Amino acid sequence: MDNLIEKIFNGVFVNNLTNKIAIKTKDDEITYSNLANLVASTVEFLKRKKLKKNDIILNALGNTIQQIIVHYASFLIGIIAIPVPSYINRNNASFYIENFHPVLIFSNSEISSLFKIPAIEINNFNELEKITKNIFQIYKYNINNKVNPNDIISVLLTTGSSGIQKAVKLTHRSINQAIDNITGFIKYTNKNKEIIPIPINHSFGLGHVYCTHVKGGSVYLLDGIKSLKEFYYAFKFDYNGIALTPSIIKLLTFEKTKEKTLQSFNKLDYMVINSEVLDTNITKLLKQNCSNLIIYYYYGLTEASRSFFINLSLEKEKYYKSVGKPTSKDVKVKLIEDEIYIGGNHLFSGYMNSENSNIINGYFKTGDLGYLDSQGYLFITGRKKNIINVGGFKVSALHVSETLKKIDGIEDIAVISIFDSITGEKPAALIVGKNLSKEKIMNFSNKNIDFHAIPKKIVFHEFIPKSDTGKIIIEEVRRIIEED
Amino acid sequence: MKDKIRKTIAKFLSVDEKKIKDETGPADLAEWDSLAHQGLILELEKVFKLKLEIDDVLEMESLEDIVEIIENKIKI
Repeated sequence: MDNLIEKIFNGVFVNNLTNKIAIKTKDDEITYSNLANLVASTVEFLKRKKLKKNDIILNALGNTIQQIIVHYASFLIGIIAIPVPSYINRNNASFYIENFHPVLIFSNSEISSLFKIPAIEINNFNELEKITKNIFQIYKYNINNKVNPNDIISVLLTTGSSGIQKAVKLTHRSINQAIDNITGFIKYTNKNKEIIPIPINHSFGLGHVYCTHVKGGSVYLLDGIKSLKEFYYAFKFDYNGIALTPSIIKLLTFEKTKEKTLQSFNKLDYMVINSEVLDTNITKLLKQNCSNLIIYYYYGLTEASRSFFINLSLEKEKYYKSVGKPTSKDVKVKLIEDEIYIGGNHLFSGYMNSENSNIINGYFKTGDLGYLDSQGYLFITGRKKNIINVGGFKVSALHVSETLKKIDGIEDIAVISIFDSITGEKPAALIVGKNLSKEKIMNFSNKNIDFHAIPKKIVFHEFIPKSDTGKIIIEEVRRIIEED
Repeated sequence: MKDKIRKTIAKFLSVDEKKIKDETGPADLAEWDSLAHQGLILELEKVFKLKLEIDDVLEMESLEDIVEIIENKIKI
């Protein structure tokens, strides 16, 4: 089997796309030939650092060109570069070190104090060029020979029900199959030019980079929608696709930005959505106002990437809440007691930090509940896992509780999901304790908890409602929080 | 004017005023996320009795920006 990155560059050279822009950001852009050269230089750089196949490095460079260069270079050598969020706090750092034993970390912020391993801080694209300049060389074909399809080549983090982030091991086989499935369904070509505002340290964002590059297309990387100005600026160029979550779409179609958003989306040919089903009213709004826009939605966890796809533009309203049908013939599905099980060559090969893969006889037990209708469309009805889905970011209620318990004065706590009109769900905390203030909780949270996991509502109470067996009564907790 | 705007933002986001520095903007604080930013724009319109256009909204990336835009609107 071919190494994916070799496949990307071989395709570019064969199809004479070397001068085409491979990646663009607000400040920089890079052609495929320059990308190939910098990837080759970075391969040499990593080798000189004595890194070898199966070594683990952390890649915390955010949605930048340098993140992709380091990722592709690692991929070519067989180094496992785990993409992690660019905002690393002390808690994350300990978790990464204890679980993955990385030998090197790339970051765009001051993180040396958090790690006792070598850290390379790259604040911008030019700095990466500088560190590799003395070993700059022209990219050569066939850096690697054929690869073993079952070798682990990538590890992506996702939040599991246990409260700990799970490190999902992906092989050459699983990644290549997932890309074949997706590019086949969407019919990617070198004409695809995608705006990617979602984080590329997750399967959703990174998958879009792979799929676009493997066909010789271009990606425009954005750091979320923190800056609306930068977001709309991306539409000045002739990009024809975008990857977004429903919560971002909902925000962008609010009163003030609605018109500008619809005008911008109208310039696109397609949009790919993941994480939660799009609100029916927004689906209708997009269909009415963006006549040329094809809206794809897919379902699939990091462990079983993009297993189901639906083209909402072709479907009637009764299927707006469906996640569609299997992406390709390789994807198998079965339901056992309403729980969705997925099989196929695109499946992951277990977790790096857990022995239980939940793969049973070749099928991954997803923890999601659903049903198939008579036409074979899959509908998701709920989750078995205690996870809060904050606009696509999976937050473990248990993990947030355990982290907040470290605050002096907290005697008991219950973290639950409450409704949010934009993100669908958000974390809220009911807290019992002494000498506490909301400010104290927020100060601690800002330093120790990922942004999306920080409780957006905090209520102090005399007790946490529990059953006779000590189990938290979630509905009672919700009532108290909502009445506050 | 700057203090009044700072107070409005702090009150709307339920954060200490000291946290709102001149360069602070959306996503610098957990409380000031993209959703809160949308709500804040409507709140600023209400408090200062003015209408913010989409171009104003796009330029509002820090307290300093917000002050400049609102001051210009009020002058007009």
